[in-house]
Amino acid sequence: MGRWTHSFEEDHDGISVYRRDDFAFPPARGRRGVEFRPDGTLVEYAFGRGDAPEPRPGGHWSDDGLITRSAGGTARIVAAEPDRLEIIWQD
Amino acid sequence: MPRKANGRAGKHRDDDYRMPGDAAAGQGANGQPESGMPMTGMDSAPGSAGAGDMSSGGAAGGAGMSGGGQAGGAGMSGGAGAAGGAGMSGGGSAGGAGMSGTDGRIENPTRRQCGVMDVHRRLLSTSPEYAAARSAIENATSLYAAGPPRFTGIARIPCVVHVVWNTAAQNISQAQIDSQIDVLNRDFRATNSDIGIVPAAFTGLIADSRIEFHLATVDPNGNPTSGVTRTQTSTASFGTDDKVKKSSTGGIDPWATDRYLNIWVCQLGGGLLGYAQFPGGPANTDGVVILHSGFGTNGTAAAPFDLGRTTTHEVGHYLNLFHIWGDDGSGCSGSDECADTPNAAGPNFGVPTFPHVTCSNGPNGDLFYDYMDYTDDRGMVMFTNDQATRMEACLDTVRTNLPVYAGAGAGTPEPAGSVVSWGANRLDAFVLGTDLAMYHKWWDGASWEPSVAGYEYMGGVCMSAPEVASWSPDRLDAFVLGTDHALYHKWWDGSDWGPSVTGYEYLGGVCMSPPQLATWGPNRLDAFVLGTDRALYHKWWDGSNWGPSVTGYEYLGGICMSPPEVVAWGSDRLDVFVLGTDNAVYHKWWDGSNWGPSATGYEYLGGVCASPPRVVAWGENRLDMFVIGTDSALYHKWWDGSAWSGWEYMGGICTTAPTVVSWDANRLDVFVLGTDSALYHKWWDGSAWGPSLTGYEYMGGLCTDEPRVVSWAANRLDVFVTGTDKQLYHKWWDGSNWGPGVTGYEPLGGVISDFRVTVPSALPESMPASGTMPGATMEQAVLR
Ligand SMILES: [Zn+2]
Repeated sequence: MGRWTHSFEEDHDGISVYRRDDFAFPPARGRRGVEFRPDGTLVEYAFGRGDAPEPRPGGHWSDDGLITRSAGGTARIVAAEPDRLEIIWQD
Repeated sequence: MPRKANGRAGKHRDDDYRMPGDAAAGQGANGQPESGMPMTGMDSAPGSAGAGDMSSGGAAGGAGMSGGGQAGGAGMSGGAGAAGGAGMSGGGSAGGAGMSGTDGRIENPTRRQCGVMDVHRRLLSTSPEYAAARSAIENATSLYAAGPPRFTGIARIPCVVHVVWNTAAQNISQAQIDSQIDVLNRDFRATNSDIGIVPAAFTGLIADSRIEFHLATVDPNGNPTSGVTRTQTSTASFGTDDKVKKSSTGGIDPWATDRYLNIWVCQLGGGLLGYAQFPGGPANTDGVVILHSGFGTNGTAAAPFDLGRTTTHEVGHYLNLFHIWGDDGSGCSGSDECADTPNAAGPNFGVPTFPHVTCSNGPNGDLFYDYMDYTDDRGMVMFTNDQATRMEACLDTVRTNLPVYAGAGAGTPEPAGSVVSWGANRLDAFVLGTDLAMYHKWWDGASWEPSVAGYEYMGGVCMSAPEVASWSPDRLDAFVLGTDHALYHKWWDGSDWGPSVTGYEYLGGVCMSPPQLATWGPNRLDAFVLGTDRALYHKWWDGSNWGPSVTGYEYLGGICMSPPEVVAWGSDRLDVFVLGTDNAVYHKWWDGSNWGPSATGYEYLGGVCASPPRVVAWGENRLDMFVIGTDSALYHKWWDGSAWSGWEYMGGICTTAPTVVSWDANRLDVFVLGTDSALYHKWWDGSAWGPSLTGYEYMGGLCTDEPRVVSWAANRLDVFVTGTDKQLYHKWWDGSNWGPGVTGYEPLGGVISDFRVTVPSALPESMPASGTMPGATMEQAVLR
């Protein structure tokens, strides 16, 4: 639940790592993110045209960690801790 | 006397636009050589005293102007610096850039791109006003880009930096702020020293955007300012919700966003380096926000974002540039609306190795050297030609209220004179009364102040007409000679006259010519006078001090027979013109580091002139010079950036030196008085002279002194003359008509003296020591 920002420095083994916004991210030109809303919708944050992260519809998520992307395809949450989230994006 | 073929087209003159007396004098003029300015005997020189001077000048032998001595060796040596920075070194192999191709990010898969345009449309539809504004801006931009070549001048954007700090370290130093402004000025002028990393395949795309930046010197209330605000906040870090842009939410309100580039510098959360608002968005949040540790090159700036490129990138957005990958995620369908940036998939990070091919853009691949990609600071080093065009279009179609062309429509600094304009629809006129005191009146956009016929009394007993420069809106610096022929100065700082309304600052010297002023940038003044030895002397205000000292002068050599004419066509650039003892034109220039052709030398430009040269710059590295020949006709010579033309014959029988003004690139307006004391006008519209090469537009009047002309906007002229009743008169061109009529004038009151100081009739006994001006008795000055 809530908004997570890509901590790409921690990515490993094909797994994307996400952190909460209060995490001490090193400065970066841009970071993508995801937001899990209580109604089951997923919002993705892309690089905005003016560099502020830009929300866009991402699809849906379910309690079992499966993400169904509105653009097609799926992803899976493989680990979830209060301050750290791991996702495998499948193509 | 060297002569070059000139532009004199033929022997027939246009009778329809003849100036009075033209035909009679035409006989004599026909006898003149086909080319060049007429050489005349001394007996036809104006005034026998002048003729005597010419011979004594010749007898003085080595006393002639150095470098002059007729043609001498003084060619175009060293000329006015060629284009400089832009072209660049080819850069050779990409290799040097080194480092990882990407930083190994695992990004979301690409397939979601098909949803992008839907989302984009949805976002735009949530704010119809924004969508309409953005659409209008893009239409205007493409129309602009398809139009004629862009203005050759340099736009200078006033900036305010809002430092919003929570911890002491975030309260960044002035040095860190200054370092960022320096980076912007290098990056947007393509003078950054790391531009050489661009491989040869891309060097042809590198553009000088001709945009410069400076910290504002006047705040929105018209008061002097450092251009920096500092605000302590309890907010530990800001997001992209614009709270930093409002005093009520822990930040600080912007300065008028149509007139200043607002730059907020603060702690940003989420690792964000900065973000920008595109033109067309809400006014109260317009500007850019930058992480303090990604700002400037020293202080808290930290690698790999410590070269100031985040601000360069965000200001690119502010000036309507998109990311070069087209903002479509990692697809190949998005566009940045610039044809010369290769189609690219997604952002590049780190410092990639050339080439990085995507979207079938081989063999050269992505232009990841561009400021509008996502590389580390040391990887982004250039804008392209099309990006420069988009930014220029932004300034000329959307951000039109930014005072980037300081005063007049031309991109060159506002010329000094007795009438100046420091902003749109603003005029300040200075005259001497018959009591030789200075008087001032001004047009505030709605009315003449203090009244149509009234003047503000400003004291003094002046021996020269006021020479006034304006280096910033609501700033005036007026210079006159006193009865001791010293230079005196007073200034308007936006709220008061200094040192007082009727007081003057003493600046020393014994001057034998009226002072000539130029200003090439904020808080910069350059004053030129002749000494009693007729040499040229110079002093300058650098923002904090007078150089070489308050009362001292820099010796620049020469023996000058006319007051100096000074033009500044760009930052730290000066061109000075005088007549030598042979009445030819001589030229010297300051290129930012040296005087050319030497500290005391002059470039010989030929001619035999019966008036001082008058010179205007309609753009960077462009000069147009006008003089009256001994046949009283007008002659024109120009510097096109690489060479001087010959003398172009422009007809007329002129009784005053020409007055010339430019309100836009490739536009000139020239005014003279004819033998009937009426005003005459001709103009260059970019392709031809109107009403004809040798013809003049009759504008009526009975004028007693040469006209003063100023332009406060494109296609706007304000002309001031004195009448036989010693009153000031005014007429204006509003873009379509002359007011109050082609031959009519608006009376502006006053009883004006035309008392002026010219060069002395006798040479001094000895040359002065450098840095000092020789003393002189009053008798050495010719007053008329
Ligand atoms: Zn950006």
